[in-house]
Amino acid sequence: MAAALHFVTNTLRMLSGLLIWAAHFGIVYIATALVCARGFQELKWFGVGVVAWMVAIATTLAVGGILVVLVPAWRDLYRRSSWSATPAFIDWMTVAFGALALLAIVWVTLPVMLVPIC
Amino acid sequence: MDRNQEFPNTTPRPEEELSLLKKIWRAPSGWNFITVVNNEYIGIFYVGTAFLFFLLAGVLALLMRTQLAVPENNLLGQDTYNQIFTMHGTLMMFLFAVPAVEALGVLILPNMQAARDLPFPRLSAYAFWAYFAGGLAFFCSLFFDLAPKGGWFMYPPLTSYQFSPGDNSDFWLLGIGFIEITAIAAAIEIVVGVLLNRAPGMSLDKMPIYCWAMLVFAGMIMVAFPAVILCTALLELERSFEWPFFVAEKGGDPLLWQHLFWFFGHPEVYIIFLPAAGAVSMIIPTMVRKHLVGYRLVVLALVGTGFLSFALWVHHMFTVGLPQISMSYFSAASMAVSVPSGIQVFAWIATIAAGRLKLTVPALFTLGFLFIFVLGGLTGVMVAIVPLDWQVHDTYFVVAHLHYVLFGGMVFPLFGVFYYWAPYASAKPLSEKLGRWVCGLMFIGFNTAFFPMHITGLLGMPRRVYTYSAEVGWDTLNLVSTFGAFLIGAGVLVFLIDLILNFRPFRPEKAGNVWDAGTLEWLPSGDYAMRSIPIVESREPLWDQPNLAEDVEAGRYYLPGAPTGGRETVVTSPIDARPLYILPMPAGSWYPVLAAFGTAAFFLLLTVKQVVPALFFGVFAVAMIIRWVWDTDPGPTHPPVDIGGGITLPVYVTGPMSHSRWAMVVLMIVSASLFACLIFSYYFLWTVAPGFWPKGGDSLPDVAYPLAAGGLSLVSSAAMAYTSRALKSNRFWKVRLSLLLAVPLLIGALLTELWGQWQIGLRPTDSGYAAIVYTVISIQGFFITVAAIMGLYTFARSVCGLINRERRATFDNTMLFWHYTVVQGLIGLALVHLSPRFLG
Repeated sequence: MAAALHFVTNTLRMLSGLLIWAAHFGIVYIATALVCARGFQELKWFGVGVVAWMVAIATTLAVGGILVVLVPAWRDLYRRSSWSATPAFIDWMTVAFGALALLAIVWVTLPVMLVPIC
Repeated sequence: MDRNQEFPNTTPRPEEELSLLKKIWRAPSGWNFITVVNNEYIGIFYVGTAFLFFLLAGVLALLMRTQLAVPENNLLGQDTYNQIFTMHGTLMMFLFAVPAVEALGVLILPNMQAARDLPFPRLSAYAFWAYFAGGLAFFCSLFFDLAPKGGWFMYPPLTSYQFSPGDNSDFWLLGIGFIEITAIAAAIEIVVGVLLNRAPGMSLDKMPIYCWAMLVFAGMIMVAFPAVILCTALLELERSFEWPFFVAEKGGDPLLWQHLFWFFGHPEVYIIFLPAAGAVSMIIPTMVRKHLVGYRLVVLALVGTGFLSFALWVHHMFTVGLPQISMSYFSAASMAVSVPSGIQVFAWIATIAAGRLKLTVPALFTLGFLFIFVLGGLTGVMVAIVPLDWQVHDTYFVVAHLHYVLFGGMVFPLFGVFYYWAPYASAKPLSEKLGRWVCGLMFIGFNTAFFPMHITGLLGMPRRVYTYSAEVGWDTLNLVSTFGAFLIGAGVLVFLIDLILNFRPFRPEKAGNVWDAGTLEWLPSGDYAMRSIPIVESREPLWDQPNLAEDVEAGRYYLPGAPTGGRETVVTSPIDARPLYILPMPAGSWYPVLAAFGTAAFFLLLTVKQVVPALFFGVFAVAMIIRWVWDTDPGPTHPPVDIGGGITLPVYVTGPMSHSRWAMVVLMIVSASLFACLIFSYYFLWTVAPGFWPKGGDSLPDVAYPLAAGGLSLVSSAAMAYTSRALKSNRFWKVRLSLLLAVPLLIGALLTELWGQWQIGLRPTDSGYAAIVYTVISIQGFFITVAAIMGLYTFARSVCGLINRERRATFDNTMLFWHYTVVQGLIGLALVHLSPRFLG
């Protein structure tokens, strides 16, 4: 039981950045498709379109979520006085997957500022 | 100091120990050889069959190139050409590339991880034989004018009943759907094998890169393949019963196919590439005699690519009229995936730079791979840019790009792998001299064949045309391409000669570690894999642990004999590889082989509408599977075993660490992926054709129906939970009674929902909405049928006294699948009954 639980929690933590990226990507894609299919793209709030708002909120939440996992893993990585190789490896992977996911999220979000919506 | 004290077991070992080990693991002889399950035998059969399909697809490619060599050629007619290019693409993608890398995994992984075999050897044998029989029968459709002709991605409406009458498309849909199921079986084997069957000490950070690549590969199959299984099922339902999923005037949409197909199809490219990249990460360090530079970064790249590649599917659909911002998301993601790919390329270059590369044949193929794959990657970034994609879409530029990626990214590494790992499986290595010819001919031939296609594409030559006019100016380029294709063919021919001259598998002696490689597959081995299971202290133990091979061979490490009197291996914990328990393993059996042929016959007979014989073979296959698994779950029939070093392990476990539980969890992830694709399909059709959806609750079944169906499902789950409690106290009559109660409750839930929809007059042929509603019910019906068979099977085992408080793995798995089915059913009810009420 302990080995299985250890695996599940560590794997989820390690992959959390990429899982959050996947959720962010799915949400912005589906939300945009629905807005365009239903013709809501002209809706604005404070002069900013509905899609931009949705993407901004989703991105803020995603980036925040990744940082919540990434920062403690980063601290563990550099504060651990005596470590065995495996936990350090998992912490490193948690940080690296988080960083890759941050890059991908920002990269996917950029077109909202550059490209017409529908 | 006495060397014996450093090891878990003392030497010399008893004389009879090795002979018993050999006897237990010996492959069957005579006719029974067909029942062999040892990974080295099944792995070689598997690789050989995949290579056979590569040859067959290659012959088709040469036919196509001959047809296109000169303008207005009439060697092949249009219809024949269509069948040939469809069969070429289908064979290469589904019957060669994925099975080949799975086959290599089955062949190599157990020894690389110092396991005696993968955890479900009969499942591997079943997957192989089903693939072998089904694949060959599928290929033979070409000789009867029955081969599919809609292209390897089979877009409707071209492939639906209106424009593709006859059985040709059905061969693709049922044949490939079935082959994908066998691929999933192999993926389950690989996931559980990599996570639970590693040598003690081989923690995640010491796992060979190839194991990481295979883990990511299998994980991607789990998520991607259900999408293609679903879309083939939908199109077959449309073709056979006119359920209009892809018929626009009835509320369907052909783009639904494209979304589902490419949600599978793009990750498929990486599914093929990543194991090849993993192999390259093994070959290069060996050839420069240096550790791989940036091990952690390469793991990051493998896993990162596995994730990011799922966000690329729409870049195959840039010309279908999607919102511009949506295309931009996918364009950005397509460029982002080049980051992890680039990390791997730079890690390989850095490793080569860190040492001195020995220009052996595997190294030459690796260099060829780097050159070709990088070019393919660059054109990949080009077509990820929307305006350029609009320009070159469906032209030969794309044909060139995809071949640079796939041939460069998979076929070149694979030939490198053949040369690299041949001494692992053969008594002789392959010839270095002939290998250089193979590599040279293939490299020059490939670039001669495919580089000009970039230009023919830019000049406007569309894909899939069977001929062209002399006036359009494509003739010289096509002639050059054809010449190059025959050079590739010549290279493959030299390889075949090399195989005939030198490849000697299934011999007790092996050529062995001719490259001085560092990983465990190069330990001396027999049918039993290695004599004893070593403790691993680094990523290249043969380099870093002196005398390892000798100590393993002398039986100084764990499990030097066969203490249970049968086949067994050690299961270790998934993160840090601590020994957990002994897994008894099955020997060869006819049942998986017969089940595989029965399964293949079921699907193929169904294709040609021979329903009664198909059902006969379907029932036969299920019977064989039930007979096969009847012998599993043996219970704690043997006392704990001392494997050495003071470690005593149980021979049977239940609960979360049971390997069968892990396989069931993987199966549930596959099922959940399929159901998620179904939910996507439901909402996609609602998005494109809301007019066909019921408005509010008026034209929906009364809420009493879903409430009753949900209630019955929950009660059946409660009955299963009660059974579990009753089993803990060995109250057998209560166990049997509640099992018997749970089955009709679950079936009742399905019938209630079905009747609810039917009695309001909704018919699946009415509209896309109706079709998808009945598909939700049908898929739930399939899961309930499987759950019911599992429930009755568990009941039968209970009656036979094969289940009790200690021996309960079968019941636990049935219960897990049962609860999953109920949860999926509840989500399905919410989808079908709540969505129209809230969204209509």
